[in-house]
Amino acid sequence: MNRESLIAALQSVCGKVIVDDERLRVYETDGLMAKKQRPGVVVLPETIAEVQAIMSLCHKAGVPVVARGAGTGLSGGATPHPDGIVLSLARFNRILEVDQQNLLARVEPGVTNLAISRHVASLGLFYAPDPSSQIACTIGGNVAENSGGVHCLKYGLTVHNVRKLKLISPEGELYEVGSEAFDTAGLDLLALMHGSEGMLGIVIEVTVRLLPIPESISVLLAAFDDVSVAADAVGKIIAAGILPAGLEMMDNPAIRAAEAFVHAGYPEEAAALLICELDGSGTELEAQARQLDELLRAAGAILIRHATEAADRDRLWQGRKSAFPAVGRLAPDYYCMDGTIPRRELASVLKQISVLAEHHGLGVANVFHAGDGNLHPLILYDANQPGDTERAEAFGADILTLCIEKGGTITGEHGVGIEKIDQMCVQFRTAELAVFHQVKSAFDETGILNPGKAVPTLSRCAEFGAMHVHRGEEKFPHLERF
Amino acid sequence: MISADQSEELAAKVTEARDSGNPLVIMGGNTRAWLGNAPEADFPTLSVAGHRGVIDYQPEELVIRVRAGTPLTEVVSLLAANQQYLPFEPPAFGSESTIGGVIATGLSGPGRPFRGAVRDHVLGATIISGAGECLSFGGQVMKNVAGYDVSRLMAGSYGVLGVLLDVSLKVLPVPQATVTLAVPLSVQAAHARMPGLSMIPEVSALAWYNGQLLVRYSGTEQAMARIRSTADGELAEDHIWAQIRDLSLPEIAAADVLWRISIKPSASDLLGETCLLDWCGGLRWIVPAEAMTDVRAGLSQGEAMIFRGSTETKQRFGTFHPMAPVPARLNLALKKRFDPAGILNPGRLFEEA
Ligand SMILES: Cc1cc2nc3c(=O)[nH]c(=O)nc-3n(C[C@H](O)[C@H](O)[C@H](O)COP(=O)(O)OP(=O)(O)OC[C@H]3O[C@@H](n4cnc5c(N)ncnc54)[C@H](O)[C@@H]3O)c2cc1C
Repeated sequence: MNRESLIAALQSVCGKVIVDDERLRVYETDGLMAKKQRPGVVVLPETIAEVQAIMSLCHKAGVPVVARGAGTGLSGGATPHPDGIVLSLARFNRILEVDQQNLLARVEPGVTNLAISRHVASLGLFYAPDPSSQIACTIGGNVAENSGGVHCLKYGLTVHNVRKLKLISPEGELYEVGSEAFDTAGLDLLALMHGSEGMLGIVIEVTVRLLPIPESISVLLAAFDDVSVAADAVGKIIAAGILPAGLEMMDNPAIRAAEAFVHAGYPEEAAALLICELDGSGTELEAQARQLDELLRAAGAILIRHATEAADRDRLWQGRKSAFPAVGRLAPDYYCMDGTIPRRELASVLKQISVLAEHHGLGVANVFHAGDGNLHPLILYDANQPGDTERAEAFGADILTLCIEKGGTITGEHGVGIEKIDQMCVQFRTAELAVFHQVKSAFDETGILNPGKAVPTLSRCAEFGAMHVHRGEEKFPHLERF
Repeated sequence: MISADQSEELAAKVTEARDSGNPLVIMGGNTRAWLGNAPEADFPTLSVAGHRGVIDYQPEELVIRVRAGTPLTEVVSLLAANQQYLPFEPPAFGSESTIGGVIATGLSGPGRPFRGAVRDHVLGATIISGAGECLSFGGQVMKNVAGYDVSRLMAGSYGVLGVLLDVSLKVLPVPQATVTLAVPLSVQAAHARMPGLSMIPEVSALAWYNGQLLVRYSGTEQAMARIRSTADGELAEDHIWAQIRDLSLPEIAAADVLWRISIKPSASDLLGETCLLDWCGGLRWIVPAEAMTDVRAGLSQGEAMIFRGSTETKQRFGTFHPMAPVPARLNLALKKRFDPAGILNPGRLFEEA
C-alpha cells in the first residue's frame, strides 16, 4: 500500500490523522534524542473501536505500528519506523473508575503517572511507582517499560502494581489479561506484558493497585567523604533489616550540579550523598529513623540531616529530583545509562566507571536508585565536538558490559529499545534471543508491532559478536580489578 | 545441605523425549501431582528432586538463587536463620515440597494481597525448554527489563513451558513481631470489615474461618505493642496462618473436593458457602456438600478452580476456569513455541489439541 492510499484508509477509520511534515516532526524522537526518524503518518484515535480498526487495517496491509505514550522513553522504544505509522495514545487520557473497596483505579493508557496519584490523593490513596518523569509519562508507557521510580525499593515496579490490562492484538481483537482478583487461570500474560516495549500488544486500559498514603514520612540525608563508604552503607542498611521506601545516591559531580541548580542545601564538598526515605506510623518511624541515623554514623557518614515536615522533605528531595536537568547544565549533552548490579558491587563499579571516564576522556555524574542497585551514570559530552558522540556511546557500552560482568543487567528500567539492542547480544546467548523472537511471534505473528526494537536479530548479533568478547570473559583487561 | 547439579542429565532426558516424542511428567517432591489436570496417559516422570542446593545467597542482597529440586523447608530454614523469609509465603504440602513445584504451581499464602505473589518475587530463572536447551532469563538483581520477562512467566506455568532448573527469588527481612487477633463474626460481617482493615499499614493478612475474622499485624515490636493494646479482637495463635497457607485446617484438609475461587475481594458471590475466606476476601475455599456440584456455575464473576477432586470431577467441570478465546490462543501459541514437540507436562494447565 502506498502512503496516499494508507492515509486515505486510516482517515476512513480514525478521526485524527496527522500527515503534514511540520506536525509529524513532533514525533520524530522519544527521549533518546540522538535517533531521529520522521514517521510517515501519525494517528490519534479516541475510541477503542478506532484503535481496533487501525490495527486490523495495518495488520492486513503489513504496516508497522509504533505505539506512543508521552514519548519520554529513553531507549528509543517509541522512535518511529521508517515505513510505519505512529499510534499515539495521547487522547486516551481519562481516569475511568476508582474502586475504593478494592483499592483499584481503572484508567486509560494515556493518563499520566502523576495524574493517578493526584486524582486519588483526597481519598488518602496513591499509586506507588513514581518515575522521575511522572508529570509527563503515561501509564501505558510505564507498563510497556515496566518503569520504576524512587519508591520502588519498598513498593515494587509497575509490574507489581498493575492488576489488569485491556489490550488490542495486532489483528485488532480486544482482550484482557489479569483481573480485579489476585490471580487468573493460565500463563501469567499480565507479567509478560510488562516491559514488552509495545511489541506484544497495544495497552488500551490499565487497572492499577492503589495504596494508602503513609501516615508519616521521614527523610534522612547522609553525606560521605568517600564514594565507596557511601556505597557500602547501602548494603549495611539493607542488612540491618531496614527497608526504606527509597534509597538514592548522588556522587560529587551530581551534588554540585544539583546544588548550583536548585540550592537544596546539599554539602557541596561531600564525595557522595545518600537520601533515605522511611515511612510508617509516627512513633515507630521516629525509632526507625534513630536506628538508621546511628547506623549511618557507624558506617562513616560525616553529616546527617533529618526532615519530617513536608516542606523540609521536599527540599532534601528537590536536588535529587532535579538532578538530570541540573547535570544537563554541566555539558551541552548528556547520555543517561541504566544498568543494574548487585548492591555489593556498587563501590567497585562506581570506581571502575570513574576509571572508564578517564579512559574515554569524558565526564560522568552518578545519581541513582542505590537501594535497587540501579545505576544511572550520566555521561557528559558535546555532540558538536567531532568524535564526542562516538566516545560517549563507547563509554556507555563499556559501562553496560561492566554491569553484565558483575552479574547485572544492561537495563533496569529504561528498556532496550534501539539504544541497547547490541548489548542484548552480550547479555543473552543466541538460544535465549531466539526464545524472545518466539515469544514475539506468539503474540504478533507478522511482526507489525514496533519491529526492530528490544530484541536484536540473530544476524545482527553475529556481526556484533565479531567485535566483542562474550560474557564470562573479562572485558577490560587493561583495568585494575577492585 | 545436599548440593548437586544435574542440569546436564536433565537436559539430555528432555532432548531424548523431544526426539522420541514421548512426553514427560515433571516431578519435584511429588507433593503436588494432584494439582491441575491429570496426565493424559501414564507418561514417565522426569524427577528434578536430585537437582538441588543453594547456588547463591547473600542476605544483604535480599536474593536467593536455588536449584529447583531444593526442598522448600531447607530454603525456609536457611532464610529464617538469617531473619529473612519468602514474602509470598508458599504453602508446603508436606516436607518434600520443592522450590520448583512452588514456582511452577504459583500458589501464594495469606500475605499475597499485601506482599505480592510468587511471580512478584521471581527475579530470574534457568530452564530447559522443550527443545532441550538450557536457557537463562532475568537475573539476581531487583530491576531488569532486558528482554521479555520469561522468568516471571514460569510462576504458575505448571511446567508446560520448560523444566525449571533454578530460580532467583527476592526475599525480605522477617518483621520484628507479629500479632494475630480474632474477632467473632459471621463471614458476611467479616467480609464487610475487610476493606477498612486493609487500609491499616501493619495489616499483613486478613481471613475468616470458623466464625472468626482473623487479622494479622506485622511490624516493629513497638507497633505490635500498640496494636495489642488498641486493636479489636482476642489474641490468637500465629500458627493459624500456617494452617491457612498449607490448607491443613480440619474441614479443608478432610475435603475430597475443594474449590478455589479467585475473585474481586468486594464481590459477594458464594460468601455463604465459603469455608475459608482469605486474601481480604479475594480467595474463597469451598467444600461442596455434594462432590458433583458445579460451584463455578454459581459465580457471577471471578474464577473457580477445582483445587482438589477426583479425575472424574475435574473432567466433568474442567479443573481450571476456562480462558477467554484470545488469551487461550496466546497460551497455546506460547506452549507451541517453548515446547514444539509437546513433551513437557502436556495438558496439565490447558488442553493442547
Ligand atoms: C527526565 C526523565 C526522567 C525519567 N525517569 C525515569 C525513572 O525514574 N524511571 C523510569 O523507569 N523511567 C524513567 N524515564 C523513562 C520514561 O519516562 C519511562 O520509560 C516511561 O514509562 C515512558 O512513558 P511514555 O508514556 O513517555 O512512553 P513512550 O516513550 O511514548 O513509549 C515507551 C515505550 O512504550 C510503548 N508504549 C507506549 N504506550 C503504549 C501502549 N499504550 N501500549 C503499548 N505500548 C506502548 C512504546 O511503543 C515504547 O516502546 C525518564 C525519562 C525522562 C525523560
